[in-house]
Amino acid sequence: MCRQITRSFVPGLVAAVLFAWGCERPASPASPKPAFWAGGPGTCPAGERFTGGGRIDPEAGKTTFGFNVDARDWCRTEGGQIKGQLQTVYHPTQTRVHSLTIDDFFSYQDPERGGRCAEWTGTARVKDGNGSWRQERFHATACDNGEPGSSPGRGPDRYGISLSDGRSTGTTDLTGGNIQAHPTH
Amino acid sequence: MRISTILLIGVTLALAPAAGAQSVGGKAYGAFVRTPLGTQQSAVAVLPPVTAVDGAMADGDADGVSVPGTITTDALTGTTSGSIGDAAAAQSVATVFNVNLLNGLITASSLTATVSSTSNGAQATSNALGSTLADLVVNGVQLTSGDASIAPNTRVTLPGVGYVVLNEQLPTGDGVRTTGLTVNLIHVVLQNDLTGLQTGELIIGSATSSAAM
Repeated sequence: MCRQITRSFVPGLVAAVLFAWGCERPASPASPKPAFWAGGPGTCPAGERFTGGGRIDPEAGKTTFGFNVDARDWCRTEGGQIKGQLQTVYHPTQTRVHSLTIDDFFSYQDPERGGRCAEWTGTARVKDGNGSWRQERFHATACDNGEPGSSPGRGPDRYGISLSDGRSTGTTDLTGGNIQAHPTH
Repeated sequence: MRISTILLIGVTLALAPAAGAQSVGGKAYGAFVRTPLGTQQSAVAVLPPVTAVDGAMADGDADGVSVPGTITTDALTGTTSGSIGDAAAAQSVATVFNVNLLNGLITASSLTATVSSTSNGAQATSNALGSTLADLVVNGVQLTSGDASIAPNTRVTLPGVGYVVLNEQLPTGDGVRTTGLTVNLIHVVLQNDLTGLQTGELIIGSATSSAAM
């Protein structure tokens, strides 16, 4: 049930509640994040910096994105800062998402493909078509599973984003672009 | 050895890329319009300098562009990001919705330009996977139905106007240490009908990335 909802980009109260519970995190890859975390040692075993950009084509519709997140301070010091930004465009509704803050981050090994995944959350300004900008929470997932990040088929890298209004792309193979994870040193 | 020769060698060495130098570059924009009446660029993102063991991102967006008789669009975005670590990687994306050029001579429901470049010092590659032109019509001929790609560097003559290059791809680099790629999804070259001289150009949906290590 949870997976079916997260693979669509349809707003809904149920999906919003599931988002709040963390169910938007896909069953694949699993996200082994503790219930409460404020950063610090052990938060980022699969990398502290992730950068990426490209395109996914989930069932809900084409989505393009770019991001750079640097959590070195957060990963090494409890209560540390997370730097970076994200932009995502959901094409069917011409929805633009720009991050304003990032306040949570963790990384882990992709259990299916052996690569490196990161998830981070924050606030973003969101605009549908020519509507008005509004503020929402977002949750993004990115996985680096090798180079090149996208192939004439799909993947192996993955990206996904969820909004607090319940919309979610699900974590989806890239059809263009690349995700680059930088290991913890 | 003459002093001038020594100076020339010194200058040449100073300008040559240092062996092992790491860098990433990126740029994306929705539209660039240059006509005798002026120049306009929209939704521009240029990757700021990225130092070793660091990363960066830039983005730009606009609700639309309107230059009467030349171009109208809905929302445009440009995003570029890059980082240097064990490898150098950069990627850029440009999107444009509902494009109408030259009073309907060229139309498309959306454009998506996607490029990425990576280098690990032994192999350097770039690609434009995911670059598409949706529902593209040029001079009354429908070239794509739905979201589809076009063969790179497809040139179409526009009688009385000039020509257009679709999915223009401009690669750079040696493929070992350095690599780069620019994709211009629609590049219209405006020409004087009598002399053939270029009088302007329109570039819609442009993304560039480069990486060196």
